[in-house]
Amino acid sequence: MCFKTWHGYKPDIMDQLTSFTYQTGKSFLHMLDVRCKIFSMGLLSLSIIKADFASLALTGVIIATLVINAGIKSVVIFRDLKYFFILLIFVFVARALTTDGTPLIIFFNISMTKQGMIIGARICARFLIIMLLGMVFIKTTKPSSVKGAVQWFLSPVPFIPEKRVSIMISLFLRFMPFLIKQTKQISNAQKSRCSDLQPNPIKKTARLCVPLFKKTFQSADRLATAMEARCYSEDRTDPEFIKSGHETIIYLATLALSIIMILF
Amino acid sequence: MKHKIIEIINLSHIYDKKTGSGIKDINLSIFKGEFIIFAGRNGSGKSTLFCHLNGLLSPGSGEILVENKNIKKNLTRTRRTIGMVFQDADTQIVGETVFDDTAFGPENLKFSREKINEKVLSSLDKLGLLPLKDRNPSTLSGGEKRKLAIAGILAMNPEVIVFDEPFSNLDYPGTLELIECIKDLHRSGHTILIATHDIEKIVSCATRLIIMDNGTIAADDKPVNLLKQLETFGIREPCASKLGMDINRISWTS
Amino acid sequence: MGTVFTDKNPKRAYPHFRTFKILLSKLKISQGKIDMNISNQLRMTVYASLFAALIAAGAFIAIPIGPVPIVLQNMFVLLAGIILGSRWGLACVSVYLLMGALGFPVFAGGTGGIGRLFGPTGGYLLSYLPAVYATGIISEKLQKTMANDIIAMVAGSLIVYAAGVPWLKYVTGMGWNKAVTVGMYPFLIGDIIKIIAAAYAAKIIRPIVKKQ
Repeated sequence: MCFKTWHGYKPDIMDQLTSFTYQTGKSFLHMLDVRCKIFSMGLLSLSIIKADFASLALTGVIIATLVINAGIKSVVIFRDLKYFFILLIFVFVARALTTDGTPLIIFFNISMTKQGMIIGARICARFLIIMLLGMVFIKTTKPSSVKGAVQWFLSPVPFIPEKRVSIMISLFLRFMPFLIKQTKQISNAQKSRCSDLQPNPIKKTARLCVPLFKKTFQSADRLATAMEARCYSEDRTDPEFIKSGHETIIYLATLALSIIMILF
Repeated sequence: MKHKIIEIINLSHIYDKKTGSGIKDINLSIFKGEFIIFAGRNGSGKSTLFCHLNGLLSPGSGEILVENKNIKKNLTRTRRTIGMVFQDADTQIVGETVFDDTAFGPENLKFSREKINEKVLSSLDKLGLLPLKDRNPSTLSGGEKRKLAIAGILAMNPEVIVFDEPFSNLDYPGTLELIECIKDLHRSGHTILIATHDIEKIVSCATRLIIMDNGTIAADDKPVNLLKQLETFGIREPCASKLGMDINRISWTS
Repeated sequence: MGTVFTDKNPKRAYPHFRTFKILLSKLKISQGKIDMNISNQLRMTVYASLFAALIAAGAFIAIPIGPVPIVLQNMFVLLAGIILGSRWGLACVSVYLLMGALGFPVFAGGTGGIGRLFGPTGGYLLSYLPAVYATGIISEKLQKTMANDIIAMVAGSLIVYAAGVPWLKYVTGMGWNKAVTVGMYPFLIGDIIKIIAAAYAAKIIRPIVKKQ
């Protein structure tokens, strides 16, 4: 919320939203059981909070290898994470300015301290690794298998209807491109009627939202009817998981890596 | 004697008492292997009737029997017997890939994974969508989306397939392909029901034409016998019929 | 590519939990939740998913007004509370955050990942959960008028800042004054505009949703 200023209305991002999540492929990570990937990603993301530069560098190298193996281009990574980098710079500067210690750079009465910069760099590296983990995961995993894995992980949790969550994920993924198209259409239709000249911001906001809501809710209603006609039931066939046979190694490697992170 | 698959007895459903919109006193028997066109202007009750067939609306009075059993008794069985393809193909797609979407129905029926894969692949193959099976449905063309909707229904192996305005929003090649596809389905033994106000595209394949007007059945006969009355009910008479050509040559593909 | 094993029975993993869940579901049925509700429940599921997608899309829909463009994301969160109520609102925001945590690019700036939830702005994102619940509860308790909607949404936004600003302060290590200057003041005017627009939109949407 705090960083809203850094991106305007970018229809291009919205167009790519579905396409840039998953890249087809047959690499090591693509073939790995999705549950194993989620487990490793979760465990590493948690233990990285304790990690220092040495283990961060080690993890960075491992991730880089996997990225190359999965055939993800570095350009794509920079493109997807560009706003996140701005966030990181902000965190770095804020840390460097506010931590007490030996001043390194001074202009006027503001000083960046050595200690502050080290702390800042460490925090940024941690965030970056977590982001990269998430990105590698989402780029190498089909949305439908993510959905299946979520269902599998939630199934032992009482009071959470895991099958409904899984259906909601499907619907969520289905509504995203649809909403993006609708918003564009409505905003173009209004622009062609000179909506830009409307000075009242409340009216401006409401005029975009109301038709969007009307249209999408009607379509959601029709979707519900169509699902009913296709025998919708929450008692459905369970998802299928395909293992590549390397899962045990990955589980062990993940455990080892998180122990290294926490201890060193 | 042909096998009677659907029987509608005195079916009425009124939306609004003042205007009397809805359907009134429909009596109809549908036999296995028929190809029926329901024609009528907008608001003549075609869609309302179709929603009843699938148990999506409850009858105000009267009843619908499928295989001699009231549809209310087992809605899932009804929906498996009668597959419904809606007017707006966009709104009936659920899955994130073509394959997943087609699997939605069989998954609801709790088929085993192997059976689902087999059913999905065979129905995608039938409609020529197999090369697209990993695509995101929102990137498909209008005609492909319509076919995907049919594939999703076909994977549940229905005996009757109901189409509500299948040709709306389709371009010319898309329409031709869809007509071929519907003909194929009919040939392979499915009973076909189509609601449309534009009968020219498909009329030569039909075995029966039902004209609906104001919520009632106004006429029910072989298409040849009704062509000349069409325009009194607000349906355009096929061009070729106006020119006095042969019925078998009047549709878009013959 | 290694050998392909198919795990045909994922249930095997937690047998006793399963039994527990089956018992729970039977309990629900015996309480009288029967077939007719399924259709209604399906509709709510669809609407909640739609709202989750709206929240995600809201991060991209920016209306340029003044120096800071208005992003509609938190407005959709508050609207979800008002339209869907506390329970379904919570479900909808949970799904949104879950999708983000799994790495789908649904957060502002086109990113996702657990990193964002731990990051400087994570407090705002996580606060959507209590905010939507509170908004839902308040609007359920009060009469459905525009003024009450505004009260409920103001309470919701206060929760967003109450959680978001301290988190921002903690992660970046800056002082209170600075955190409030960066993380709250620039957005207040936009929030007021959004809340009024949302109350107006709610008046129109509610009949569409309630009709079913």
